[in-house]
Amino acid sequence: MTTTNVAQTLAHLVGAEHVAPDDQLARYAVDGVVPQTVVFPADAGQVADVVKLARAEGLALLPWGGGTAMAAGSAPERLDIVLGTRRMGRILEHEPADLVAIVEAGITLAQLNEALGRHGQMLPIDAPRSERATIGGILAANTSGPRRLSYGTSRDHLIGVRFVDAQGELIKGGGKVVKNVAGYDIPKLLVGSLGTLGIIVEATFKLAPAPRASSAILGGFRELDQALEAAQAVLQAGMRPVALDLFNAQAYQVVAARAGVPTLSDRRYFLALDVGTQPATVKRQVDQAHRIITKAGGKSLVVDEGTAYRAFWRAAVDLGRGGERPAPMITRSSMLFSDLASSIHGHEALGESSHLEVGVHVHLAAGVLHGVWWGEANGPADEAMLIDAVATLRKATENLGGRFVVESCGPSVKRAVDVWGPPGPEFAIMRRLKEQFDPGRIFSPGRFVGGL
Amino acid sequence: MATKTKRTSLIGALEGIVGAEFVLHTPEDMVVFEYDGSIGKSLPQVVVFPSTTEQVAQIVRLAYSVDVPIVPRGAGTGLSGGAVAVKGGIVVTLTRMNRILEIDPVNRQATVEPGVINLHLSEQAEPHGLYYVPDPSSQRVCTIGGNVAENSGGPHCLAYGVTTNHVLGLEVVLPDGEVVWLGGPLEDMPGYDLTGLFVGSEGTLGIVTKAIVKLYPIAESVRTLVAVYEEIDDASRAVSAIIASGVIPAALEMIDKVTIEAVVQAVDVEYPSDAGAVLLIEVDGLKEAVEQESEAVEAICRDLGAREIRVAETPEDRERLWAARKGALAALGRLAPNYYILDGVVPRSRLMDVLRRVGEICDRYDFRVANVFHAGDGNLHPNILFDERIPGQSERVLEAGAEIMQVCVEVGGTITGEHGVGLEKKGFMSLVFSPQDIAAMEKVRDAFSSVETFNPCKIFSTAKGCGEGWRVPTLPDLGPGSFL
Ligand SMILES: Cc1cc2nc3c(=O)[nH]c(=O)nc-3n(C[C@H](O)[C@H](O)[C@H](O)COP(=O)(O)OP(=O)(O)OC[C@H]3O[C@@H](n4cnc5c(N)ncnc54)[C@H](O)[C@@H]3O)c2cc1C
Repeated sequence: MTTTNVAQTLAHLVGAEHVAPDDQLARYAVDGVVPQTVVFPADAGQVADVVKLARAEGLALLPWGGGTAMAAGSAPERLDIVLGTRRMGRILEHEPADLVAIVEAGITLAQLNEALGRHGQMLPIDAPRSERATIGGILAANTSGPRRLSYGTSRDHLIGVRFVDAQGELIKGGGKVVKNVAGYDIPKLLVGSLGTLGIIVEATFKLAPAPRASSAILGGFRELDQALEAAQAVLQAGMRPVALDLFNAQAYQVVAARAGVPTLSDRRYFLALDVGTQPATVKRQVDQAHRIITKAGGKSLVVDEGTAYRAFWRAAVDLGRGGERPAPMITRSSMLFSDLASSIHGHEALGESSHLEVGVHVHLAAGVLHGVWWGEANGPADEAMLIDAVATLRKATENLGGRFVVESCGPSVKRAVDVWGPPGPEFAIMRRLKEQFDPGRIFSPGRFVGGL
Repeated sequence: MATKTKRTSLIGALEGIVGAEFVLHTPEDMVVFEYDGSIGKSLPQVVVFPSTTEQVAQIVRLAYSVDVPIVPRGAGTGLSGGAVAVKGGIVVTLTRMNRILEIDPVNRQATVEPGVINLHLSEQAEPHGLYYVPDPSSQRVCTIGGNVAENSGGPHCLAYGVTTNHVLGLEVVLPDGEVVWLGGPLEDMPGYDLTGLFVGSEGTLGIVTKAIVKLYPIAESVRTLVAVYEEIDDASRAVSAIIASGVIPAALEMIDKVTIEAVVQAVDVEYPSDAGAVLLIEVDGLKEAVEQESEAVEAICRDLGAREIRVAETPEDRERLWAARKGALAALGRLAPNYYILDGVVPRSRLMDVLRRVGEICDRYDFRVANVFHAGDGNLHPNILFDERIPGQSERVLEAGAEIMQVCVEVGGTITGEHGVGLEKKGFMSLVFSPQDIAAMEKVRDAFSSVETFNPCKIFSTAKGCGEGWRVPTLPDLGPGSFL
């Protein structure tokens, strides 16, 4: 089939007005690869029709939610059809008394949480640009943020899923009850699979009650050791923070400026504790954290209810993603809590020696470190330096027993590095999963670990 | 004759791997390994007790090379027949691999061998102010390997999640004998979530030889209370109302009248023996929150007709209340020679309705039923009491069970919440899943391995050659206190 014929068939399947005009195709380029067609199906049935067409014609298909994580993964080896989920944005079921909601994949996190909030509930997943990021994309990219400390990540919330497989069949995994061991845990298969095994069309979540109080306490320190000592003390003192993050000065200044929080410019490392959920515990946790921060040599600052609190965490989650200072590269290193200090110093040393500026933002208890890389003094980043940085960081992280991934970068850096890094021996199973679910390699080919 | 030689040489080879004292094969010994905690029953030919990953790998490779079925086994408390050797063959019992290899308090994780008993891990973590969250009622005997295989839950999984939410990495021996790590000590490993797929795979994808699990800080404050109801309907309403109010207690368990009758005979606990149902509720966390939440819970319980609320005043009180809950299944032996335990899950707003229908079904079959379950999760455990010596009862109890599962599915629930599909429920998978849904699961299995002799005939009823060789068996006696 020629490109024109594919576009015509798709127009026939979903309606001509739901196929993007040619002059818009460039907006849907993935790592510089421009698709032949962009199509917006209305429902799972139409998704299945599109998949069947792709399969019959051997076309590569890439699902597109809000487009906020499109710089993730390796560059696609082929890209013919982008399948946009923006028309699939309904809440299909929300039974507040069960704390469960079923939604279509194209709903944005912000829309969902706004609707849930009216019932005092929420889906406690953090994702950058939540007003654009869709549930399908968040699941596929396994996006997470500060609140993972107390709420976990997508794998802990997703209790049911529907996806369209490579045959165009609608497959259900899990269900809508909070405990379920009937057969294998198919929802886990889809979380983090980056559109390589099927198209997620529907998700069922276990929800959480919305917090009844929101308050954060920040601690500014001169030395990293002091900040980490305070963090360790918080974890050992029986406190129950919702989030416990660390920022270096570069990261903190950007977040603070955007959130309208004092920048404490004489400090180099910043702890941020979310101590929300209940009015009864806020004061006590703030007092406790204040004592710990002060004892470790820090200066504390309370960010209260309302706008500043929300703005702060939002700016933290969005750091480097759009906004005033989009970063040309964001990296993620996972390691043990006890190895973080060395890695943080390593990031900063590299920043200095490479004439890049690096913002460090760490989810401490999870051992997840984001490096947000900018050009020096607001200038453009030298790509050769970014490429060198990837090699240096990967080696340093792996020496600590950690894993290093480039979360986002531009197409030319991507061509020069393997964003995922070398897979381990368990990769053989992953490869067979891909072969089982997508033998014709129609779903986002080449984008995943090991070229899957 | 030929099979006999084959059997002898197989035993010889296994003895060569682990030493003769760790291989059992006499008929008397096999009887002990014929069943687990479920109603399935089938004799293995040989039971082997490895002590290292390398031995497990050698055993698995041997079984594969001679095409003999092989079944992993922990403590054998499973309630769905997962450890039953349906096609005979080798049972690999992991109980000798019971070392806690490391407790890492700074990174809050532990590395354990699969035969470690669940409760032992929490006991060892306690000096560090930590514990392992999932606490199946069988935790004094069941193993971490079995927990991983079944994705076990427990009374305290309501607020903090079940096994899958606490496992970071697994060293496994795949069905062809290859040893591989899935996940590891870190979160967010790139690639598909193989750990997540393995947890809950019921011993069909490989044998766990090491597990890295998360540990959680022991709460500074805990309050345990019992709300006593005349009517089970009111207790059900209270459960739904608590969840809807936005308080998620650490535990929210229901114990019905029939169960109370058994428990008060078996355990030293003062549950009011005339109650229609009691709720056992635990709230934990920061002391200020515990105070506030337990007051909120108490208020809801009273509003919905609790005739009495008792709060555990001392740690001993608390222990006693829990002993009664955790000993409840064993105590049922006092009421009937056998019970058949179901494990359906329903949306939490449907509890009252479903419990009524469970009662009606059991009435219709003329069985007594004892409900003791994880109410906060909507995870029912109707225990149907019967006597296998009475002809026809074993068949009818399964029929009643089938109707109950049907009801759970009808209201939007599922057939099993923590015990697994195993042998016993595989015929009911089609109530919940389409053939395509099941085919997707089989693809996952095939990605891990295509060895058909590895723990055969479990979960899927589509497997070849599984129709015969296993029939609805006679049921094992479960005397009082058999597990706890
Ligand atoms: C009184 C009683 C109370 C119970 N309460 C609960 C409860 O509250 N919650 C709950 O979830 N369950 C409960 N159970 C069920 C049971 O205890 C759990 O399923 C437990 O996890 C089984 O552990 P086990 O070591 O006995 O495993 P087994 O019964 O020996 O095996 C169970 C399954 O795991 C597989 N397996 C065992 N070890 C391994 C390994 N190392 N690698 C791979 N596969 C393996 C077996 O092949 C089998 O499929 C209860 C059972 C009883 C008898």
